[in-house]
Amino acid sequence: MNPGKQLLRQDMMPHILCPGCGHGIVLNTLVRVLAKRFTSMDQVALVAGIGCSSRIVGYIDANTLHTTHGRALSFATGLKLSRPELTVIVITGDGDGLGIGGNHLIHAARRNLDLTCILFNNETYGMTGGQLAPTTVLRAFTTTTPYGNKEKSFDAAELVKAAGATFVGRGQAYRPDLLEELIDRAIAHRGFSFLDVMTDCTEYFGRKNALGGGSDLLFSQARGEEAIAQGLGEWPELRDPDGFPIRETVPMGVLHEVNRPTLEEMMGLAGYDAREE
Amino acid sequence: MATELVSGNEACARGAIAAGCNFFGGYPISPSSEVAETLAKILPGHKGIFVQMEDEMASLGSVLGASLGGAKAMTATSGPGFTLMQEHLGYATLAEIPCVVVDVMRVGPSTGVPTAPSQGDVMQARWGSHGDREVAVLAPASVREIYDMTVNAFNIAERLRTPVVVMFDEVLAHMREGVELSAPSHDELWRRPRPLEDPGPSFRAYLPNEDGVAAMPNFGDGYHFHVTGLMHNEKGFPTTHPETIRGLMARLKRKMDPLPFWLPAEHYRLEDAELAVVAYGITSRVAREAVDRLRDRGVLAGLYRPRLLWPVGAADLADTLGRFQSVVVPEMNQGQWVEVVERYLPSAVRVVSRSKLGGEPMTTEEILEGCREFVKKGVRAL
Amino acid sequence: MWKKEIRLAGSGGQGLGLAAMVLADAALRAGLQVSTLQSYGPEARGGASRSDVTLCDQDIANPWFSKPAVLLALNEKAWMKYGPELAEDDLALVDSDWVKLPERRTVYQIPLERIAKTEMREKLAANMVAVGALAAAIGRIPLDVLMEAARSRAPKGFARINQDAIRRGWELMEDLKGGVDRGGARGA
Repeated sequence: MNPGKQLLRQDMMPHILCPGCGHGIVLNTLVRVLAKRFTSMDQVALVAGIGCSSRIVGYIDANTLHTTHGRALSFATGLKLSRPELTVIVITGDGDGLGIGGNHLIHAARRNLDLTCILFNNETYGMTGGQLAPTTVLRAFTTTTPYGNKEKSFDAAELVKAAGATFVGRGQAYRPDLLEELIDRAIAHRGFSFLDVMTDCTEYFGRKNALGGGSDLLFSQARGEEAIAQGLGEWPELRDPDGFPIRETVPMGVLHEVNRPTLEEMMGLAGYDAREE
Repeated sequence: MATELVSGNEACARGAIAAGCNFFGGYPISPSSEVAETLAKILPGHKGIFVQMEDEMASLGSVLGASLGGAKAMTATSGPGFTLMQEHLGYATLAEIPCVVVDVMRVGPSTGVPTAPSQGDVMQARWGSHGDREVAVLAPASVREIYDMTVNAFNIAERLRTPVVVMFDEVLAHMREGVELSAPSHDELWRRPRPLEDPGPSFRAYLPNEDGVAAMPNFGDGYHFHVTGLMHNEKGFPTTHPETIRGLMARLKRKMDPLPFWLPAEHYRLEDAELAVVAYGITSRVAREAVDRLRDRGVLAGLYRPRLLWPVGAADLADTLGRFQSVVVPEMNQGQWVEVVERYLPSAVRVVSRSKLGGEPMTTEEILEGCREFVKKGVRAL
Repeated sequence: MWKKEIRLAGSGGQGLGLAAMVLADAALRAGLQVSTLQSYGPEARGGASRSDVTLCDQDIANPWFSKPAVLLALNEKAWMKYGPELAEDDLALVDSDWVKLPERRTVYQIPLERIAKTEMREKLAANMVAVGALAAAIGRIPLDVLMEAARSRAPKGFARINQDAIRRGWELMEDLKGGVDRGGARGA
């Protein structure tokens, strides 16, 4: 049995995720890590913004906070400062975390509070119906780029690293085994840790760009890796020269890891507890 | 206790400390910055946390996160920042997270005059957030009252699990008055209702008590509950069920019912009055002097001063002012709370707005002039 | 009811905020009700600056006023802005080196800055010379109470200078008051 299954709120099922969506794999991987790391979820808080990815916190039997669009990190900042003993994990999406919440993301990275932020990157706004995201690759079709995207996309990992995060990594829904290790290390890291996790939106992004179903999109992540392995470099387009879907997935793994005093440490918050009575 | 010279913003910060505030997340903005500056200095000495956030949305977000962790949390801002906070004010209302938001009003719209007073945010405080909601808005009129009402605001926020707004203007914020500030005793500080049952799967985070307020545990205390800005059921889980939504909205409104009794309006020389002036905040200070001057000249004038702008103490308003022929409502805006007065008074009462814009408070003379046409012939000239 | 609405006007950097605080603090110590309101924002750090103080022997119903009953003008601009509004029985003190007066007005004139510079060797103490002079003109605040307030509010190293300046301003006003009582404006 999946050791993470006991951490799911059965009365919240069925979930809202579409068939073929990569988010479920990341959720599954996350609860496996949580089940492994924590004997109880009493001291674990999951904070999310708005979007498909952010909905997953509601499925986990812990202290869960589903906030406003883009602003989960600000809630997490207050929560962590008031209760530094909690493990606080922020779930966000590419639109949530890089679009409307981009300012909060870079400032959270700069502050280096001991938080873990997992960004589900599916290159589109799924919940609102498949619009252009800050991560959508060039030339891709979305409901708001009917003639193809003309804007360069963000590299979330580079952005957050430049902003001062002390741990940055990138994973894929295609490789849950590697992702599990990555999430585990991110949570273990003392300071602001950030993971850019490739997932896929079949229902909107896949359909709009005729990329196939869920498995085709998962394989597109693998193809990106292979392209790198073969020395073809970055691939900021939707298809490889043979016409197969390909996902820009470079580089992978732990990309940045340094030690710097956390905000709690700078504030001298060891043993701090804002609870009354 | 010694009398000291204290500004409104300082009194606000010290009132927060007296109320047990132990978290402040804020963003600098004139003319409220001294609230943040004072708390940055004194919170650490009171086992509290001060954090300067990247904008006003994040400020109130951090406050709500801290409150869920068990802190008594607040932020302070001014017009433009208050506009940005509306999103999280709506969130705090629906998710029922206690917090205090101080809005020091300045001239707007937009950047307006950052360093001049106004009373232009009265309707924004009521309707600024999308959707329909009740909101608690307190309007102190002196340095001493800013201190006291900041304490009141924390009490109400905790007791009713709701955001509470304390609104005053640039003049009150920067004015120093000689005051004696006495801290409330421990018993005078109200706390959020705590769950009586132990953590477990049967716990329902939004199951209301008789007064319409649900018990609220802290994050980290073992209750695995869910908080969302989506419409939710008693477990806190999202719902689109119309009956559940109607029930939730009715409860959120009903739980605010005691507020007008907790913060009744002040009636000044109204008993035998023939002419009533309705004013709040700094304008009520000027109006009080105008009323005294009218009395000196034989005009039976009185002042009705709401201390709670929202929700409206409609019963008291109608009972007290319903018998008047004329009610004059001076405000430093284009006429906002006057609409409330009109709404709750019988149509036979003539309600007149006297508005002043431009970043200066009304003068006594202007209020006297505003009352002139309602003064009966035969009394000495104003 | 005794009530005085006092406006201290000049430019940013002349220490009008501190002057208002010393005056207000002393009035509090003397048992009066007090409120103050200082100009705020960029103008407090340059340009035109003002500080308002209200003193009253009862609770202050309305702490805000548009027209003062007592005016200190440290420069011509301040006098031009607020001087014309004064009534005949209102009290005014100007720095006579900087403000050109219409002859008919009854105004106390002291070269505040020059006195601070030559006697206190500190131009910035002009504000305290003014406070001493104003308090002597207004009455109700004893000199020793004023001196104590000045000491407790003085920036580091300024206590003695500010107290000397206040005492000097007080003396000058006492002399002037005699002159005015005999009719007509006088300069020190």
